[in-house]
Amino acid sequence: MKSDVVLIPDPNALGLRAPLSTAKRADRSRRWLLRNGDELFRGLYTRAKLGWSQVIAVSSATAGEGKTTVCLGIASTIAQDFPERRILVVETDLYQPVLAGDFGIEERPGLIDCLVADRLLQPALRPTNLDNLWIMPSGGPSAEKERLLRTSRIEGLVENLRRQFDLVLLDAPAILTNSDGAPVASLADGVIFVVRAGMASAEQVDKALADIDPKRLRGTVLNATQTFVPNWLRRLFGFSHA
Amino acid sequence: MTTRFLEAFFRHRWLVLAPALIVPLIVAALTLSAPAPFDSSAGIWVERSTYLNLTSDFNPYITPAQNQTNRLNELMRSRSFVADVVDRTSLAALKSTAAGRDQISRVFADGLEILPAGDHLITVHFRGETPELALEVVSAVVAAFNTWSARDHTSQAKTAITFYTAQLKDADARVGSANAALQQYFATNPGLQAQNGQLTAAAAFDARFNELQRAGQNATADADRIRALMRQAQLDVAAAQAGQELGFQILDAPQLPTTPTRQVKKILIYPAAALAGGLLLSALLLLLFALGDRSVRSMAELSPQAAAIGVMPRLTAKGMARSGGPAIVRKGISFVAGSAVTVDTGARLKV
Repeated sequence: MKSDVVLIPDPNALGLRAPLSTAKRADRSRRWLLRNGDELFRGLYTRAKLGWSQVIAVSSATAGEGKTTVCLGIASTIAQDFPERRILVVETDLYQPVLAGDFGIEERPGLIDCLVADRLLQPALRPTNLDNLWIMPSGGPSAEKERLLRTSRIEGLVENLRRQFDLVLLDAPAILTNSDGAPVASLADGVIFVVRAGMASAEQVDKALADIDPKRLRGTVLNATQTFVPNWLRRLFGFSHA
Repeated sequence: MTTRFLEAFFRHRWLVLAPALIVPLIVAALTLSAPAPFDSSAGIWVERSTYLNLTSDFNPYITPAQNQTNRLNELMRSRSFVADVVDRTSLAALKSTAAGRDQISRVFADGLEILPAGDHLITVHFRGETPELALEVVSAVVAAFNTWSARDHTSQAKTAITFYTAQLKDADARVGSANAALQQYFATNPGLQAQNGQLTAAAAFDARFNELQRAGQNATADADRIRALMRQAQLDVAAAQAGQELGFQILDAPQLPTTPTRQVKKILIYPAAALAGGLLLSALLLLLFALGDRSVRSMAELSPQAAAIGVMPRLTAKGMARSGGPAIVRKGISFVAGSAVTVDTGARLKV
């Protein structure tokens, strides 16, 4: 039932000023995101050498660099490419949660609730439009959230999730702006580091990478690159914006 | 580095180009909208002082015109002379307030030009907002300079007359004593003069007589020279008192300008200078944007330890407004892979 229906949410819920006025435009967006965009994410997970039964953290130096975008993009692409595999995205940024809002779902129960209960709450695993993709929002609120990600409970929960899913992606907090960033990254088998072009400096990136075990680092994604130089000029000088 | 500058330029192109575009436009608009000025000028013929050379302030190594130009320019820096000039114009009403005095200073600083145009000719030129003001100021400067020059010359001439009078008195005394000595020598040496009053041949060989005769002639010549100088000084005083300064003649009297001055140079130069300034400002802005941006913008700027695995171009979902901000793609992905359970606020599309 779900597979043949695409839901068009209220434009205001997406923060869009211009409404998706026609079905044609909405369908074009959907096709772009699912097909053209997929190839980009496909390239990322291939080069990051993601494997099954792995827990992968997606982190960055500062907030707003596109961790969640990359995390969701990779997750949804893998979920489509491997329909028999079970993929889970866990939102571990307890201070700036966005998943519940983006997906239009209730915040609770989520990660915080699981950690407080010290067990995996099945309702915290939210189904998505893709049959094999689940998300776990941050949940909450909790008075303990400052230290929840530093307790042994999180390790137990992650191991539990690893057993239940073929791939667990942790949408981790920013390393330099959130003290939970490095501990969450250390829970994962691998870390994909996201750098938004024009945001963090090279010094900040290096400083954040110093907090990540080099053996865990699967690679860095330069996100949202953009060039304003006309193509003819780039050809003339022989450079690409990447 | 070229890449960085190109990126910075095209990323902030309107901001970078703004000074180079806006500044010349503003300056051109201001230049064209400014009222056209009116020019008036006068030519003054000046001479070197002919008496009291030792006490004259004339520099003998520069021309009279340069000398008087320097003098007039110096006078224009004095409050009393400027006040005298202003009193002769319609600007006099402005003297009572500080703002008015500032305005007067600006009017003179911006519009008045005093230059030598030869060895003896000075030109006084003024550019004013109205033809009347241009004429008034040039006339006032010339008149004031004439008055002050005449006053100075009168003063100097009177001093010279006093000096020459004393000199002449001494010279006349010397002539008198020389003549007396000569007469006495004749009296003691009657053989020097014949019955008819002519000198005898013996007089020609009398050394003492010749000496006394030369002294008398010298004293007389000296007295004559001093008398001539004194007459010149008396003439200067008389001329100055009559308003006709000798050595100061207005050859070209100031005239009322009938048409505004065309300012082709100003119209071209000011916007060109503004363009140059604007370009400089643009270059500085570009430098600031290029060197001030220390963020990572390409894989080449990542350190080797970052192990770059890919580049995600800035995604903009077609059909979705850019105003959705940087989270629009994340929201789009969430929307596509969104929960089928709780999103129920929009329309449904069957595919």
